[in-house]
Amino acid sequence: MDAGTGVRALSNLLMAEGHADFTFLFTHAHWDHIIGFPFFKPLYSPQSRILIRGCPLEQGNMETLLSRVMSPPFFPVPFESLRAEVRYEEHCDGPLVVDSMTIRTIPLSHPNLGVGFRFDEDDRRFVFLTDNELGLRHHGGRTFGEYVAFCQGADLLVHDAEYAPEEYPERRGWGHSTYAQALDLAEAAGVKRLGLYHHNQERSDKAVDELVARCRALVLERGLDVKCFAVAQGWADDV
Amino acid sequence: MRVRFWGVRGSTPVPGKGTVRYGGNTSCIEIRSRSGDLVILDGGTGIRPLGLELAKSDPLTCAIFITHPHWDHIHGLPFFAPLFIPGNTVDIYCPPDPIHMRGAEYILENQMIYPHFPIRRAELRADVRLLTLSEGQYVEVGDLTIGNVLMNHPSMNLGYRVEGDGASLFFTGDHEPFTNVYEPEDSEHAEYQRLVDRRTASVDEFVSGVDLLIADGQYSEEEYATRVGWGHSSFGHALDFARRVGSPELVLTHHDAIRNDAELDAIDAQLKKRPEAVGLHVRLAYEGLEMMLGET
Repeated sequence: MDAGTGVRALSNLLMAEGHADFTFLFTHAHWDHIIGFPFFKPLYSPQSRILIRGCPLEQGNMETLLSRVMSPPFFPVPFESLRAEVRYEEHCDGPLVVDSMTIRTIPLSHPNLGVGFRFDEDDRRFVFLTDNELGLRHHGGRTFGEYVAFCQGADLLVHDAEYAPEEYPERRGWGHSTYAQALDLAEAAGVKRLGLYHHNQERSDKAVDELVARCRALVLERGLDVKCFAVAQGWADDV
Repeated sequence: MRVRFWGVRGSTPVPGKGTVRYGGNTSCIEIRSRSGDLVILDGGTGIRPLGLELAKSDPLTCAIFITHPHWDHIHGLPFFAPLFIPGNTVDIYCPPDPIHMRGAEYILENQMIYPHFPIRRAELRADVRLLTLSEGQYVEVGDLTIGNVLMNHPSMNLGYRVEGDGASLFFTGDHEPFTNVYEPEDSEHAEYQRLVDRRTASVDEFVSGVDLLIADGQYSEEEYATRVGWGHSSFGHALDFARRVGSPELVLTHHDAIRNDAELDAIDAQLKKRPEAVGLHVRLAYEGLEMMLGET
């Protein structure tokens, strides 16, 4: 999901593991979600098969939008001359099935559209909702109740938590949530683990730790059964 | 003249535990004259923290010179805070894209568009001018004079010479030495070699006598051998360049995205021991490196 600059290091790992088939899903086309795409190494291997799936009504045509990252004068290798087999498949209706995972989407409440994803495999559920403003309904966005229904019973919810509550009023409408709003969602949906995500550019490691501490204090105060943590670069776990 | 490095990476930002000391931001260099005139070379992601520091001292006037419009030299621009503050004046100079006949507007207006960015160029509050540079054109920014010369890269890349306060520096941007594309037995070899020699000499002449050379030094010699034509220099190319132009000081930048701090430390140590480095003060750029040139 998404191809921010983190996708470069991921692709090194995937190449080393010998993968050749990839499916890309994109939340939306803001730069920080696509700017790493040209550094996804399998693009330059004729053995790779890369499938981009998405619904143009929800996020635009991702193939066209991605090709802009690899167009002159910004990047030396044009999208059209990639050695990998790159295909775009529109998928708008019903869940998407990839291997043993069933994937559903929900529109984000964010400027310029986008989607969040819910992954179901066996009896486990993971929801990824970044760039989602729970405190304001943007054009195309959904109600708090609809996000609750989407996240219902998730074992892991990774949600936009860019702001502390005191930072939010000045940034209302910018398309992001506070950790407290993310926790409200986790509580209402009976989520087991909440991963805070989309850390603000100005938030140092120590400051992120402080937000986590505040989130956990809220959990205690309300007597909730939610484990709150901050997603870190390199963090991985089984759901 | 004070020089400060805010971004020293090539290609793409590489933040993480392995790049804390040299830094993971892409190309950006701040230059201040003694009287405070501000010139910024390149608008990679390093320009973001620079912008935050500058935002403390509004109103601000500055000029940004882009070596060429590849992402790693421009993708920090939408995050340059002074663009959003009324009363600021920001001039952004960029070479044209001669293949598609586009000018400087393109580098910002195509970054600040839906659905890639939520704020459009027309919404910027500062007085922002996007100015297309011609090869060889001189620009004065207060006490600083900025000249340029066409370098060798798959994109039209201008190297910038900045003069002021009785000191001078040159920044290559992305550059690979001019090389002959023909084999010695080809009939075109001799004529092409004359062109290569002429262009090398004209760049050398333009750069000659600087106090500081900031040069593309992305590759080791072994790496370069398999990346000829990609538009970057080896460590040895940068050392040769510094010697040819008589610069006493050489800073290598545009570090490859694959390198971590320990590897860069090792490269830095090896560079200093090379025979070509005798009499040269050479080092690798890192985020936060500050240098004073000329009288203070």
